[in-house]
Amino acid sequence: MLRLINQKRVLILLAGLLLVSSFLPSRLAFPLAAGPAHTLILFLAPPSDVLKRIGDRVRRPPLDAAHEDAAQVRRDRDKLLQYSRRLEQEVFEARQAIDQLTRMSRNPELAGIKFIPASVTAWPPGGAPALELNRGSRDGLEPGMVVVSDMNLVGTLAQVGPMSATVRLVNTPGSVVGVRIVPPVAGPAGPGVVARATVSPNGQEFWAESVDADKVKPGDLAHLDDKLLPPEARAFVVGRVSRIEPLPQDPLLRRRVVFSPIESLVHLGQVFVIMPVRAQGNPLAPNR
Amino acid sequence: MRWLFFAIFAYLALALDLGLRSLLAIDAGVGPITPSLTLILAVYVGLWAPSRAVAWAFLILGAATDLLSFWPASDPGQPLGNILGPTALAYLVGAYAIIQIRGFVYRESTLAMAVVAFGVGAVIHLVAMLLLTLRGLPFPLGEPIPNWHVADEFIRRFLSLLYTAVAAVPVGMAFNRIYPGAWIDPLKGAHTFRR
Repeated sequence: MLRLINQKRVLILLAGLLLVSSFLPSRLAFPLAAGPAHTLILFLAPPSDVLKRIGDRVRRPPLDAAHEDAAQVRRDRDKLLQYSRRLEQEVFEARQAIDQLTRMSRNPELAGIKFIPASVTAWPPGGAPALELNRGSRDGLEPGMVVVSDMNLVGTLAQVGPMSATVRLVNTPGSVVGVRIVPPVAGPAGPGVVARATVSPNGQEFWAESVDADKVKPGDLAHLDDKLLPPEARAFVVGRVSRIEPLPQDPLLRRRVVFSPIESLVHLGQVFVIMPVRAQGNPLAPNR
Repeated sequence: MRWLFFAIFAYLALALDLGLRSLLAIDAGVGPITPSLTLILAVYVGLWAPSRAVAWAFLILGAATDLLSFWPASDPGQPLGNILGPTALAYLVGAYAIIQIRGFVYRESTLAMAVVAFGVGAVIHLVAMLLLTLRGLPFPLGEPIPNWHVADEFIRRFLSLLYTAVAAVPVGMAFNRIYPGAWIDPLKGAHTFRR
């Protein structure tokens, strides 16, 4: 029997066993090799653990660099926070624009009117009644076009360049604008009270003096009604009546209606330029 | 063959392979590549030792490599484990290969050792990959190794072989300073290799 056993045959036998072991399912192969593997690793542990510690120390940065990593983590976090806030602001502005467009789309008087969205790029210092927009003649803008925000009148285009435009705000001191004061009802406004309003010296309010103040009450809306402006702009609101007060020049007999813009005109971010119906289809066609 | 010396050097090679893995590893995109000091030792023994001793030495080193390699189980809930066999058999085939070619190699040359390490290592890795890939065939087992991609594994092992061949130069220089008589009993006539 012992003559049958030699190194070659033992090698062949071991090779056969290893071949079978190579094709055992993991639920059998793993337990089979677990014991020898753990024994071998335990046997190799003393030098290999030392070498692992040396290797980790060489590869990993020291404690001071770990603090730098923490500082870098804080910087990355701050950058992401800023980015997140920018995104939130953009989402907020987008939602506002959606709300505006929704309200505008529901107004039947605006059917057939084309709106060109524009962003406000500059607010003149000192609260001067003008805005700069990022659209110009290349987008079909022309001087005199009405600029609105939501359903509120902002002003008219004073100067138009190729890629920018200046808006003369409706509350420019010295301006006079025709309005029609109506109660705040949904849908098209009724006949209301027609008046000519002037801008107060500080530019914050409109004063309508020659008006039948008995028919007006606080909260009423002053819609644009000026023949010098395009007819499609008449659906838009100039301001809301804030009070009715005695006229300083004739306090006993006359009163003036004071109304102010619904939203601040110098803090706008997104506005719309109304393209007159006759100019649609040809952005470069003359206005009137 | 003086097995005590072999045991000492095998222990050192395996300990260095295990301990310096994290230090010497290079991320190649398909996984970390590391040099194999065990393979370099096997090649050195293969160049100098008698054939029968080469076979046993390769088998032992291959089995040890299997026991130090961990694979994921087919059941995701199970921990990693070892499969004893593929690398051991691959080393056995590598032993046969080195026995065939060592007659044509100038054994004292470090460069030759690096080239032989690359060549024999290629044979070993191809056989190991074949056996591990065959586990995924419907017959006989039908249990592929999770996340086993032959192409990625091929590239990773090839790059590891290159790394090993480069490492074989300094290690081979160190080995060549050891008189082969320390390994081989001169009374056995080791310098007349029998195939």
